[in-house]
Amino acid sequence: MLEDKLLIWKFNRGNRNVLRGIYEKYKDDLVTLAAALLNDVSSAEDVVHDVFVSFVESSRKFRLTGTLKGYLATCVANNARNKNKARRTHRGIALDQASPAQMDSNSPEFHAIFGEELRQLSRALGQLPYEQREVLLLHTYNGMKFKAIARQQSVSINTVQGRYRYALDKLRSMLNGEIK
Amino acid sequence: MRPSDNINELIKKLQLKASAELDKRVHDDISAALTKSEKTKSVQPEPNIWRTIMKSKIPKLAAAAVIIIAVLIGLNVIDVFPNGSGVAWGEVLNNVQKIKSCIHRMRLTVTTGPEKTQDINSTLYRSTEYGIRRDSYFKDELISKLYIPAEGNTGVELVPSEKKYVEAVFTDEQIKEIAQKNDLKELVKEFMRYNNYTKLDSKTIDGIEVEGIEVDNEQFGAALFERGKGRLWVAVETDLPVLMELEGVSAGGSVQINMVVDEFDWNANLQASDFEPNIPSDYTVMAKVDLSGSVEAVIKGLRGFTQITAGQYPSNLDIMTTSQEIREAFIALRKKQGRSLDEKPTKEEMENILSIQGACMFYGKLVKENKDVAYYGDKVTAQDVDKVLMRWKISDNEYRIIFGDLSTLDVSAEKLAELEKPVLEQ
Repeated sequence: MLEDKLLIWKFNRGNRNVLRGIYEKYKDDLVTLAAALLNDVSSAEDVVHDVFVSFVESSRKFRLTGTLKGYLATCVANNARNKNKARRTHRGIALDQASPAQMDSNSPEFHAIFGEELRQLSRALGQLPYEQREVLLLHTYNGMKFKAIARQQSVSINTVQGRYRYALDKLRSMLNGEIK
Repeated sequence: MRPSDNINELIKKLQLKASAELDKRVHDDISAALTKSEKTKSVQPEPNIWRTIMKSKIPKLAAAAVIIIAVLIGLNVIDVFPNGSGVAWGEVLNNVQKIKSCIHRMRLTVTTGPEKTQDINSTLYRSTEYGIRRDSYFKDELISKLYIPAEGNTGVELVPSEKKYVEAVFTDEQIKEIAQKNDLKELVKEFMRYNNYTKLDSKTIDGIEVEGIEVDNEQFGAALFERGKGRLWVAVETDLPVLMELEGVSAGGSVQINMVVDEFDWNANLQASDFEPNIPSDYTVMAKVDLSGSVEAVIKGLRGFTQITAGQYPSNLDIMTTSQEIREAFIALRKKQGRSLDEKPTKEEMENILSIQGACMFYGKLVKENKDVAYYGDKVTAQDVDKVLMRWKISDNEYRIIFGDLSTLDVSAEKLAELEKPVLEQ
């Protein structure tokens, strides 16, 4: 943890060069999170890029609190959410009315990276409603607490816990072949 | 096992690799931002304006050399730490010891009387792998770049305004000690070794919550000044120092010293090239001094001092007292000789000015090692051939003496008592 504390320390002291270290340490996890949220590797990389551009442009007075990984995951989730919303709006569909995203996890790229089992999981994740998918990934993949996710999504903690349960149930059903 | 049996474990296995294209985009953007930031920074006024009323080149050069020793002080460790606060004090030293490199600022203010204040602002670069570099500024002028390697036994100090350089010889042991311990850790240890610290109220420094301790002990910073105290402020979040403040008096209280160490950039990205002196071809040697702390180096330093002061020794062997006294003596000598203060010191004069630091280092080492050291420079001159100028313990019942004429003798404790009596009765 000392390493993360030092990275935060340096960043808070205005050392923007430390962003390189932060990026190298967390880039793969963040790209994975964004790709799982958006089901699109190219858009995921755009999201991660935008997050770090925002970092670079942050003023020296900017202060990080909490865990570095949690903070970055929140940034990526917020950015991905905006990108997803824009995409839906562009297609004329409201976010809360959106049907599950069309997966591109059948693409050769995903197939090459993930084994069959993970590809199956990735495809199933893509069929979850966005908010449920977001809660599941932030909690399970990034280890964020429900309370922090509730704050990030501006909903109650009960809502977040409900979305998590629904997401797990649906995934389980999909992976067991009960829902195609 | 079906995929649904452990969905959480499966999710954790998801792992994509960021593409080389993304790497390039992000790093390019960071580089562009850094370049823009540096350009903006360069047109902003520096936050700290250097002030001084010291005009002549002599004190300037002496000032440049004066803190060569300040980076070399090694001190003992006693594991006594405050308890029950937000800062894990026991972790502070551990955390600093894990640091492989850092950059920080050091501000030294020496006050020798009303309106006689001398400020030196330094940036120190430290690397356990490459050594130490210190860039010092007097007013806005770069007056000194000091390089002490992690290996080898020669430190180099460049004096750009004079296009000269000083070579300082250390022992392999000293260089090794510097590399292994790194003096910043030693400075933290110096705060940590006393029982009678005072815990200070927590406060915020530049938005960082800190807690502090104050040490006020007659042994604190013994090689730096006669009597000093210090405050160490540590970040609650990181358990790493944020600010160190040292203040003390020397030369019987006529010299006040304040040292502020702050703006730490822990584990900074430093390269080997940052620590290479690369002496320009048009620079000439200003002096070669032996700071190895050997008895020979001590005697050479003391002899050099008497050549400037007409037989007087430093009243105390802390670095600030000796620097102040040699500076005053040098100016007095110039006036007596009818020479201008603007006339540059000769190589021999500079070696005399700088060599006394070897004696200071040796004295500080003896204090640190509890060698029962005593020094009587305030009572003994070069003419006092039979009087004890300095003595220290070399074994259980044996002491080494340096007499006023700089001859040496090893004696028993009983014999020492007899020889020392005249000085003690003065």
